[in-house]
Amino acid sequence: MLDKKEIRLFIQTKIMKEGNIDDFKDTDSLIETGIIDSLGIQILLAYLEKAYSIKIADEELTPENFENIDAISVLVQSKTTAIR
Amino acid sequence: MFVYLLQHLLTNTARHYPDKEAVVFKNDAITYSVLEERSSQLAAALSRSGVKTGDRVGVMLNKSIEAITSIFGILKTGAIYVPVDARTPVSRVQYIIKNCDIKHLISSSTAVKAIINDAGDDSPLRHIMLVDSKGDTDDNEISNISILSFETALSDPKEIPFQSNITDVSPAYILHTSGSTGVPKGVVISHLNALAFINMAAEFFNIESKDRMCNVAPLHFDLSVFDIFVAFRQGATLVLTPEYLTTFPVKLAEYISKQRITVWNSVASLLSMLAEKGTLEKYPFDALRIVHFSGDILPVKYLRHLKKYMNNAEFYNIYGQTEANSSMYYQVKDIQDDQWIIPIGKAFPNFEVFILDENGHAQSTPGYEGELYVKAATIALGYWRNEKETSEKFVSDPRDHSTINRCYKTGDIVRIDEDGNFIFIGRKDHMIKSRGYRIELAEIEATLNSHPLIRQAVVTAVPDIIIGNRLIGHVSLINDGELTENDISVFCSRFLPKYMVPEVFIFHDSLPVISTGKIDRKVLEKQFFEKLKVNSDNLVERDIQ
Repeated sequence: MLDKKEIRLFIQTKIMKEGNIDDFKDTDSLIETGIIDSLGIQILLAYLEKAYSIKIADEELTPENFENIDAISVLVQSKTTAIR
Repeated sequence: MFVYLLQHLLTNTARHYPDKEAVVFKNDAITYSVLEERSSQLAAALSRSGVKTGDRVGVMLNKSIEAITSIFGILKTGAIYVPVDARTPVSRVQYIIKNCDIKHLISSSTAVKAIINDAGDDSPLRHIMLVDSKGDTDDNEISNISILSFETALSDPKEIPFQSNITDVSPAYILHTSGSTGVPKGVVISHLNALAFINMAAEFFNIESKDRMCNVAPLHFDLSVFDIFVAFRQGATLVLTPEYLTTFPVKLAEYISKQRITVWNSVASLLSMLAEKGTLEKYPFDALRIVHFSGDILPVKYLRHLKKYMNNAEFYNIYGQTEANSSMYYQVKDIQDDQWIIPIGKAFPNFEVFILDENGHAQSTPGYEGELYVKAATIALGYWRNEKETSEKFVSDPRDHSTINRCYKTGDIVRIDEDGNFIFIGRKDHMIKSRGYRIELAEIEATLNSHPLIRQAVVTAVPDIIIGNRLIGHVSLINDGELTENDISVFCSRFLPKYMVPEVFIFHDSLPVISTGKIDRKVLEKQFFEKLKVNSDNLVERDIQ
């Protein structure tokens, strides 16, 4: 099973860069809040593709797939399962 | 009617095209007549709450019909609108509020929460209008700030049209750009400055009422001036692009196609992203007739790709800065096989550009290289409350001192090629562009150096073909200082917008220096490439001698 905490930790430290955001939920929108913007998405993509040895296609780069930490986990999970 | 203020563009067009869609946003739209009425009501409400001619009124809103209504409401009172990025760190917002002495702010409840909590006793802020609050309740009174809802403000139908009694030399808006001293600089633009560009651009590009002009740039970015005011001058429709779409190239391509956008105006990095990841072959772009790109270099390979799929469009490289608006253009017709550079071109009508060569002589003919000067009616009034930098950058015409003739000294080094086109060579200082934003490396360095545990810090930029430049921080800590890369990153994020926070920090025992004692940036750049710590796909190594 995919560890959502890793993705969360990456987003917290590398993209949000804020100290105390423990109240941020896995279902909170990353897009409406602007946490994932054109800058953040590139950093996140590079990380996900490397850390999980997956390739995310241009067509998969959608608001639905990156809406929140849960959605990103589902996307990554489906990719890693497909490899196996 | 006699049109000499920005708000007159709306009033005049509302008479000619009352029922035409002025602004489209997601599933909403507003006609010219309704926008004219609502912005007048807003102006009346702002006046009742104390806004006077020349006051600075903040607008901290995401793209929305309310944001456009606010701009015109503020202008109609004779006040100056100051767009503030809602996603910028609170400390930066507070600085702008204090520096511009902003007493009135139009915003949304989520965006103002942090501002109010952190306002401090010396904050000038007294009135906040919220676009998303319904009616006024008792708990809307927070400390000494009064809160009014947009809905209440717009419920009074009187005083239409609302017009103030100012002239076109009065300031219309203040846009903030990165400053070398560690704080942003406010560029003050008059109605005349803005209209000189708008009138020219509307005619030059033959913008018509049937055009659908896409607004992608944020309101605090000067590209939005072309979108909003040229559209309103011509009775065209302004299509506001939701911010999140710029994150998802495929969705953005679909949006441009479905919305039948005819005029596109954005920074080059966004078009590079569209070319690389937008799957353009899937959508028809037959409506698109003009594409403007500016801010950074658009790699020729992406330009070829865009031209292939957006084949009805004329492509223009647009060059300019907030202080002088866009002064030059280059229309990209055929791209030669061996071509790798797109010139910044020639001056627009009613603009004069020239360079000062190494001997201090003005030149505007082929073969010369030097710092670029711009002379036009668009040259801004100066930097807000910053006499020193204003006198350094807004100078009298070096060719003719017989009268007061102001030029803007761009700091850009350019060369004139044999066809008379200007070619961008580089900067005189340490200012760079990243994702279309102008960044003073000195501003980031000033922030880093303010950290008590950092002894010395330098920021270098590594060219990246998509986003322009990527930022690398080099730091040396004081003895016994302990800081992680993440600590520094978090610290920067408290004071600087995201696009100014270095991607990577490299620790050094001490920073290398050249013989004069200055930090050796070239060595740092070279060391970075040797121990590359970032995704290197799009990086371009500078020719380091």
